[in-house]
Amino acid sequence: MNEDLLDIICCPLDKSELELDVRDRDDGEIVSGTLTCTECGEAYPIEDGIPNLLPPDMREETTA
Amino acid sequence: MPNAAPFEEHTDRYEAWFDEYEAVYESELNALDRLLDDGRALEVGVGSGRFAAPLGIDIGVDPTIGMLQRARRREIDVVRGVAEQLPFAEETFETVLLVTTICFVEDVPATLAEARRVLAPDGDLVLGYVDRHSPVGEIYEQHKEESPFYRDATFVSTDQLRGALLDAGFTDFEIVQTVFRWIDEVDEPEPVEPGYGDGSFVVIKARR
Repeated sequence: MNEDLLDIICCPLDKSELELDVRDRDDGEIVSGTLTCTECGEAYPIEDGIPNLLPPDMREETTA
Repeated sequence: MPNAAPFEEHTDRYEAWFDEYEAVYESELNALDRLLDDGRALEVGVGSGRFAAPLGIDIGVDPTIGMLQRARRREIDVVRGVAEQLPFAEETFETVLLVTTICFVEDVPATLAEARRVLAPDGDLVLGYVDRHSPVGEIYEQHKEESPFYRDATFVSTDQLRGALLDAGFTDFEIVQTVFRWIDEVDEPEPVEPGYGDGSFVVIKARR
């Protein structure tokens, strides 16, 4: 994930800003980490460089 | 998210369509290009980036991880998410594009409202789709049970979509059409004409 995206992405539920916690970085790209909503506290994973900002109730079938 | 599963399962088959129907694909790209302006753009339902990449769209959102991995390889900034609950801040984009996506969303009014929310005040929504009331649209509708992709699709006519866009608050529609023959008979790119009613692939641009 390109870090500049942080300026425009938000929580899909309440549209509040997200706080980035980087676990792994490669060549400027964020490979893994977590985006946490500053309002509701929901945590969204970044996996294989792709932030998963699906509403949490749609997430389960797909994280396997 | 019931309509995303076939795209996860049949990614290769989805990709193969563009090679098999190259002239149809090119006609669609030309029609979209006709109504797209410059500026920061988001494609909702970006899939593997087949449209976003050649059209110069920077950012894509889609629920399907297999598609997003391919779009990322095509140098598009991708985010996993759904059209009805976009994970983008308001007034972020000059253009929001949906190509053959409106037939797969679960909630058309919510999709249009979200597109409007993330558009800049003078931004445009551009929708490309197979018109339900067109030769290809009628055949797709009749045979949709046979397609893993279209089985759960709800095709819309241009009149229906115009109504939904008006209800969502969009104005100033500009419409073009292309693909005037059955797709198996299209050997070279078809012309792009103003209006709708004859072409099977229609593009609407609407102002926020």
